[in-house]
Amino acid sequence: MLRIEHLTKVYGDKRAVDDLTLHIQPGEIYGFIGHNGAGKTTTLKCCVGILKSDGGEVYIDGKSIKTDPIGCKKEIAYIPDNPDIYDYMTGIQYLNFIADMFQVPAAERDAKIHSFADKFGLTGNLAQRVSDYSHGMKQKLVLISAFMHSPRLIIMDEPFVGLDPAAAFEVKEMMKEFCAQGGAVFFSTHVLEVAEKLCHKVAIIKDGKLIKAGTMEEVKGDETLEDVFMENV
Amino acid sequence: MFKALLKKQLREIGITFLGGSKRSKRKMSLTGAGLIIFAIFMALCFAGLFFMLATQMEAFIDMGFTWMYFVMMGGIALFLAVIGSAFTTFNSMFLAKDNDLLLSMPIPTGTIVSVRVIAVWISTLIYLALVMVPTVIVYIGHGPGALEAVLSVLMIIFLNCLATAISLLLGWLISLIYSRIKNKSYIMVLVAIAFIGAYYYFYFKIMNNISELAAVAVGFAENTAKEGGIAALVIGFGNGLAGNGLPTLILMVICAGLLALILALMARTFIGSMTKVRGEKKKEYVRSTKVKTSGVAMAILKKETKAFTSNAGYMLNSGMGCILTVLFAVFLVIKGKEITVIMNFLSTENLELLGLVKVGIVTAASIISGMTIVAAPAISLEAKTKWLYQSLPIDTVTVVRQKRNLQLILSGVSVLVMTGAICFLGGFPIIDSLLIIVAGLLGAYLQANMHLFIGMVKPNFSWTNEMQVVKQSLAVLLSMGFSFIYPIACIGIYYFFAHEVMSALVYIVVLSVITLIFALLLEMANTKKGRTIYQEQ
Repeated sequence: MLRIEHLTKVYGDKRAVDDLTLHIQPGEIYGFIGHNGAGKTTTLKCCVGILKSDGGEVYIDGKSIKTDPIGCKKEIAYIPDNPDIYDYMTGIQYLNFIADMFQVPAAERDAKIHSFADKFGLTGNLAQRVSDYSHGMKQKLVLISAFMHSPRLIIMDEPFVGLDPAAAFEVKEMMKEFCAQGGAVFFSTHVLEVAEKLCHKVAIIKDGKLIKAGTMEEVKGDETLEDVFMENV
Repeated sequence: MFKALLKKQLREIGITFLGGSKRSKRKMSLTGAGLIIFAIFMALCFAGLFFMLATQMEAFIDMGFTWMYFVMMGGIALFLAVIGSAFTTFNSMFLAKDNDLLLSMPIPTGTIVSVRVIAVWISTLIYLALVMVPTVIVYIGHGPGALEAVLSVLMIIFLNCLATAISLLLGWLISLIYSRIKNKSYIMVLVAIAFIGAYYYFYFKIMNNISELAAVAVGFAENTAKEGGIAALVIGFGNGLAGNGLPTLILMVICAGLLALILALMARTFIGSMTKVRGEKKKEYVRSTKVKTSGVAMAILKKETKAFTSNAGYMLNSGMGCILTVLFAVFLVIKGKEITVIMNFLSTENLELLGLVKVGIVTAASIISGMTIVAAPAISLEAKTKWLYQSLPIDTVTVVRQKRNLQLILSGVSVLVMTGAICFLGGFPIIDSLLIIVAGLLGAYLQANMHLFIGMVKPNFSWTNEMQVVKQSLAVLLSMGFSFIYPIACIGIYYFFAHEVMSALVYIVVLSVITLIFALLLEMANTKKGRTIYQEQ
């Protein structure tokens, strides 16, 4: 589903991502962990096409993000670490705007919006302007918008930051359900316990370089993920 | 601490003008030098207009009513400075994105407020100086005493304290009503239009009735001799600005004292006011039975329209062309018959002047359309949300085109109303009318493409306050410059050269073709630039 081949991204003298190779298959929840500034967000942004890579390739369902960015983006949903969205729109206006961008049919978007909004307890707030939303509410809104066009790959940057425990639980359930239906999730996190319980596979990155990657068992063995992380970064 | 905060505030102003900081120092200084030259040019253009007004008003000085001269000019300066800064004040004081951060730090609220007030003070000074500098120059030309001349210059600074105090008061009042009214942006725009309308009404009244004003001045002077009261205050204000000893001293104390008082009040109420402007009464969500869907381009255009109409400051500053059209419509209702009479007279008595008037209408339409500056700031306003367009499966050319289209719709309607009404009232032949209207619309198309181009060449993605982008950014300043320079060049060429070799209508056709070619070239450049504008490197 997502193939990152020898990805390299350079900022000035610094190699933010250095020859990174990862493969994420359909049905997998793939965790991406590393210290602050390790290159996680840069990698995710390169995968979504927000950043141009300086070397290597990213393929989404066989399509290159460089040569067919729009084709790739149709298959992806991206959730950034900071949900900065249009403050002047109401929640429902924002969701309709995103649905228009992906040309989601009226009946389908209506059903999805209300199903997901009910799950996150956001339905009652949909008529409010986004400027009146809390960080967590904005995060929920972005999560709902991400699922609306039935993506095949969801890329999330720190998706649990700012969410209340109930919403975090819902997100985890949605990720599992999404992958059970053949989708793939690639997400970065600092919450190692969540990664350990939720992910099928995990990759550890340090100073832009891949340190370890594989199934959870392959990476941590008999230790905890926290121990492995502390030993390697 | 104060110094560091002030440095930050001034840096923000610098970044707003010069764009982001990812460029080399040499490039920044080159841009800075170019900007200074351009800013001086624009300031001279505006100050020139007020210099002309001051030379008409100097009759009061000759008649011995120097105080009246300063009351009129000082009043205009105050009005311009306050109207120009009230919304910036509200935004920069209460809606700045770094308010939370600064308040969370161990910085006294008074210090934060003081630094913000200094930014407002600079903003009002720019407007005030456009009127007061020519006013004082004309005054000094009449040879007042050295002390009076020096004090009249110094009074510009003190008058600016008064303008700042009133701006702060208005900004504070806006903050009080902001969260309590529905359709706040429209209501605020209507109130501002009423103010601007009153200003123009006042301005034209002055121009037409200077002799009547002289009589008022005499009446005021007699009145104050008898009773004092408001007349004494008005005369004192005028004398104070003229640098006349005691009145000047009193006015200095009042201006500085008022600003200090407002500053102290704002420092006390800042957190409360800032909290009030946030949040609205929660609206109940009613599930709609019919979901409206749109195509990608239409959805983006709707979104751009929403961004524009949800911000009163954005509408007022970027939609000035539309606002002037509304005022123009009112003017036509009042003066329509006179236009018909003038045009009929010209068509029989002075065809050469009529030709110039026709080219002038096309030029004026282009200027009016250029005063709707929506596309240029719209690029930078995406700073915080550009990740969305980067991650959505759309070509960003569609995005920038819709920003341009919004401007084109707004300015196109303005041009259509203006040119159509004049052609109708002037009783122009159909062919002439069509050529004028089409040329006007092509002018609007060119202006919209140029503003978009400038917005993409000089974006600023590192602002902390939206109004900085809308009002003070380099892109807006350059767009404004082009809005005037191109049409003035067009009429200048006709007036000095072309009218001798071709008729006005042929010139309008030639102008339309050139404008179209220029606009299409910009369209191509915009298509290329639009693909990468939101792409991070």
